[in-house]
Amino acid sequence: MATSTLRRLGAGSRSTSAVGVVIASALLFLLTFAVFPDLFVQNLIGGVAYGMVLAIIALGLALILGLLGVVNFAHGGLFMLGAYGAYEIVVTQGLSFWVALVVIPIAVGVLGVAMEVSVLRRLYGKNPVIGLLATFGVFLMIEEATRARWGGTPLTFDIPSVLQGAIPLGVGQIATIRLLTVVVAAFIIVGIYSLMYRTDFGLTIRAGLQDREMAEFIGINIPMRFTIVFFLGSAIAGLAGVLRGAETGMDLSLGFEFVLLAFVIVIIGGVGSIFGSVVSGLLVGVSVFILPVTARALATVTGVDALNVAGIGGVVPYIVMLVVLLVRPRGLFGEEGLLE
Amino acid sequence: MSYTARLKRLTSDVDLDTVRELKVPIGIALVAFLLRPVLGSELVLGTPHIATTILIWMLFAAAFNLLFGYVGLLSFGHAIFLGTGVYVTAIGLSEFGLPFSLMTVVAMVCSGAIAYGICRIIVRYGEIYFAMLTLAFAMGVHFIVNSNPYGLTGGSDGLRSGTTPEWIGSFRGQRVIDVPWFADLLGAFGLQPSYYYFVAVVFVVAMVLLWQLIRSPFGQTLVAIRDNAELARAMGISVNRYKVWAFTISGAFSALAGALLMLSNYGAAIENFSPETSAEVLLMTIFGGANFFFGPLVGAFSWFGVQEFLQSFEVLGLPVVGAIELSGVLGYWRFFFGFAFVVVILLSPRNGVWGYVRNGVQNGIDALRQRGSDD
Amino acid sequence: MRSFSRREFVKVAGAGTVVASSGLAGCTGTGGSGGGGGGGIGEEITIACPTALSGAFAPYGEAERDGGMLAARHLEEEFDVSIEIITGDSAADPNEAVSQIEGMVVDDGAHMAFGGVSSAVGIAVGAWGSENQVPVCVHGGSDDITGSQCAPYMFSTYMSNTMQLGPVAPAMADLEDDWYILYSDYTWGQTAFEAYSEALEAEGANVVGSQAVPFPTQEYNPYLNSAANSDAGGIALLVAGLDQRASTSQILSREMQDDYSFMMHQTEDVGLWGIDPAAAALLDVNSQGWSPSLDVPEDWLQEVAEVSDHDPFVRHYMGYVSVDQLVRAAVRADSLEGAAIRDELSGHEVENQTIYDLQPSADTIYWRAGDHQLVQPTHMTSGRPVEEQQNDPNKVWFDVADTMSGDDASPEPSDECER
Repeated sequence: MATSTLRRLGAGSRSTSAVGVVIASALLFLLTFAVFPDLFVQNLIGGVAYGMVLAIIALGLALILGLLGVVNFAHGGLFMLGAYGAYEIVVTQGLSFWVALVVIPIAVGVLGVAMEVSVLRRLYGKNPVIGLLATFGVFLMIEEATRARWGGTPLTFDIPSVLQGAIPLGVGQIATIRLLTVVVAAFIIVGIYSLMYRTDFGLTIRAGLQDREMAEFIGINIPMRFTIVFFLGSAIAGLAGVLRGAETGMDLSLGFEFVLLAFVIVIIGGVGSIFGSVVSGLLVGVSVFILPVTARALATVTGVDALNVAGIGGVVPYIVMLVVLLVRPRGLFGEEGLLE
Repeated sequence: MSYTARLKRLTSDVDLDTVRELKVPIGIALVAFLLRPVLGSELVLGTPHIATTILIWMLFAAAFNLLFGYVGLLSFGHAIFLGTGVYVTAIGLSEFGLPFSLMTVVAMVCSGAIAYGICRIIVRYGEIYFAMLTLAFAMGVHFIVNSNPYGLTGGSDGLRSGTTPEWIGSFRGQRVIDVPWFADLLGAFGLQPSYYYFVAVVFVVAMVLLWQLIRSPFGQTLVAIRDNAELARAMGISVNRYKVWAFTISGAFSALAGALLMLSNYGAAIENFSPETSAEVLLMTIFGGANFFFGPLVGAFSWFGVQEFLQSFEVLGLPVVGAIELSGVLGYWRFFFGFAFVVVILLSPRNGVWGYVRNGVQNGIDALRQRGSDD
Repeated sequence: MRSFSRREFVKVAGAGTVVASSGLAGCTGTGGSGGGGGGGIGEEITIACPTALSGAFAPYGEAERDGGMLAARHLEEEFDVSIEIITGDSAADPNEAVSQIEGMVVDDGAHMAFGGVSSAVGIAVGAWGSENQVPVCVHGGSDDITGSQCAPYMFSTYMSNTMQLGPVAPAMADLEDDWYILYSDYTWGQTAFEAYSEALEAEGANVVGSQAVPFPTQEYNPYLNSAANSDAGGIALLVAGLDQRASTSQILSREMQDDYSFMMHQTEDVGLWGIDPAAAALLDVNSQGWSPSLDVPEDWLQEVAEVSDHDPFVRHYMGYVSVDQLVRAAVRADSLEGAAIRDELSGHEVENQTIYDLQPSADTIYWRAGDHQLVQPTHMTSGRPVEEQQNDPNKVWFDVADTMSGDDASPEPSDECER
């Protein structure tokens, strides 16, 4: 998939600038490593872990966007419901966190299917912006319903003691709950990839994408398959929410904040590419951790204090998006014709 | 006496055809001058002071729709241009003591220049990438303003003192334009020289300009590009150049709205640059109807009006059922707003509420005519 | 046939229940007809409260309103006045706050205002009040409120950042020689950073590094990495809102709490952010404007608990003091005219014993004429170990370790306030 896209986008000045950007980035990283070696390694590891967290949040969105062509803004709402649902199970019902980890993704997946059947089914094939707007309305509804049920104050719940604390690595350490998230994310990514590219089921879905009419003609039940994909995407969002709620707690702004970030990651990776959104999640995660340090390293080396821009961490994902899109107009692995 | 009647008296050879042709400017003038009295009446809301905000957002939404409805370009970062209008005028007044009218022109030029620059870079990208790139620029601008460069922007505090020009006086919320000839002019129509009517006049002028632009060959080319860019290109139209210029003009008019908003808000706030602002103008435009000139106006009115209306409701007294305590449920009015939004999108995505109403009225009139001709 | 009210009207007499009443459109007066040129308080005193009632900051806004309601109840008992507090939801947005207060003054005839959770909202409302001759008591901590943004009709009930660090900076310098500062990247955090850096250096400690953390942020690991990589013995967390939770929870999950001394600015709201009690315990040295663990009367705390859904914390105190002082100024001036109230309040020394009970102080508490700052004592707290934390009848997780008088914390108005 990736190689054909590369060929289509063509060689020439584009790939020269791409190479230029890659070389410049490598040089900056080396500089950072030279000036702050320990900090660089710590942040690299932390960045990869954070990147996996971002990847699992974006994966559900990428799945639905890439495979169904639907811009699902309510993804953020489902993510938030995953967190609040876990709170419900652990605190209100008093059950174990592990129960929540299994039950909530399924519940959120079902909710996602309900949303698909009632609202989104009518929007397949229409301008994707319409889907974006309709799902935004659904997102508002989910936000308010959450506020009605659990109130506006931020909440947390306790995690099992085995998940508390940190695991020491050579340089620095990683919180156990975060390590769990990384492991779960890796499993999910491998699982989805296997499903889509190693099973007949996945083959029929991809066929339905390429030519829906023909696939239905030979007897494949496309609507059911699309619904299943939607279920998977929503369940992944719910699972990410549970893990997030366990690690940092939850509040009402969680949905909007993360859906925006998820969109940026999916765009950087390229619309239509699941692999792309995983790579881009890692790229953004590492950049958020490393770029501020790079700025400091540059300022230290050149003596120009203004280079150490304060608070740049917040805009790093957007900077990455800008740079990537300037050299690769369809994101890292985007496919031509999708959402253009 | 109504304004249409006054107009008719002024131009004696006006007949029904001319009125039909001029229905848009007449509509604009009606909206501008009737909005506040209507909102102020007890039957509707009883809150006249939001009328100024609604007019300004109508202008902003119309400027946005020039891009979205008439060219088909989606922008997630239009707050840049509104914010530029707000901040340039605020900085000019508070920091340098320059007159408001001059700073408004400067703001529009600045905003147009920024719009031109951004669009030149991103015009070639596909729809969703274009939109996300505008968002990236918007977040970048937000970051720069928050970092308070040279102490000019006030960071997250915004600019609050010295931002009101001398010719506006306020006492306990009543804002009056202290300019004699303006007061006399309004007095001739029996109106108070309040800030609202200043905004109304600027609104009418700007909207009529926009309307003329849309009616012109330039505007018609934009619609052609929206409908089929490939065909337009094949006909020899430089599609990208038109897109860039549409973006520039949209940015300039957004800055005008921003300048008015700065006065209305008594200063500049960094929230003017936030992604929520960009989202709001997009939502109200779609809700109202992107395909129509008046769509964004209806959308802006609905957005603020419904909010205000739902927040005011405490008790609903129905004749038979008795009083129903609604404040609990209506505290979650955003739920119903989201629901209404979904319904509108599903039923009439490009035409919005205004289109739906218009079509309904049109069909109704046609049905009546049919019935009449059958008899 | 339907009736609707313009805003949420809260009748204070009685148990503070919400009652719907029809709009007071007829009550709006232009041209200062409320006081009638010193003719006394002939009508009901209407106080506007433009504050955050929705969103993440809703608990703060509700507490401000509730504190004000309690004060109004006490004032109605003491004087022969009738007070009405009306609220408008600002959602922590300055533009919305201005729109709300304008509505409340124009449509509902409010004579004065209080509240506003953030400094940006406070400054916006204060500027509006100054242009429209409506006195406003704001509740933000940024130095700008009594500094570069000070305004003639704006009064600051809350201590500025500079005042708050008064007792804290020496304690920080005693605890550790080298500090690393993490601060939220907006004016509150930026002014706090400048103030703390200066104070620490003056006390002989070193600021070995600092990072501006975008506000709001949920991922503190990169910043904690930077702090851990420096030679600092202490880490200062000048962060606000949900960041207080994010930073402390990530400190706990990295098991850093015993390796460093920690300091946090304005810990009064910490209990609200769904925070882990262990997070409070790790904070060694903090600034806090007011705390229920001060020696305050139990029955006041109890009354607050009855009136409000939230445990008593600093926002109740602020709301109470603001309404109390505004109304007393109106009574002394015997007028509801904005200018008269402002003149009475500016420079006034607080006489109300209840406030001295709430903020125990040997010195006078007064509204400084130069910058309208309420000069009052500020406190340093330290987090109690989890076993010693009190959760009934209300949350007390911090001990007050030191108090500094207002005059020592802020000897004179800031140079930047020129009025």
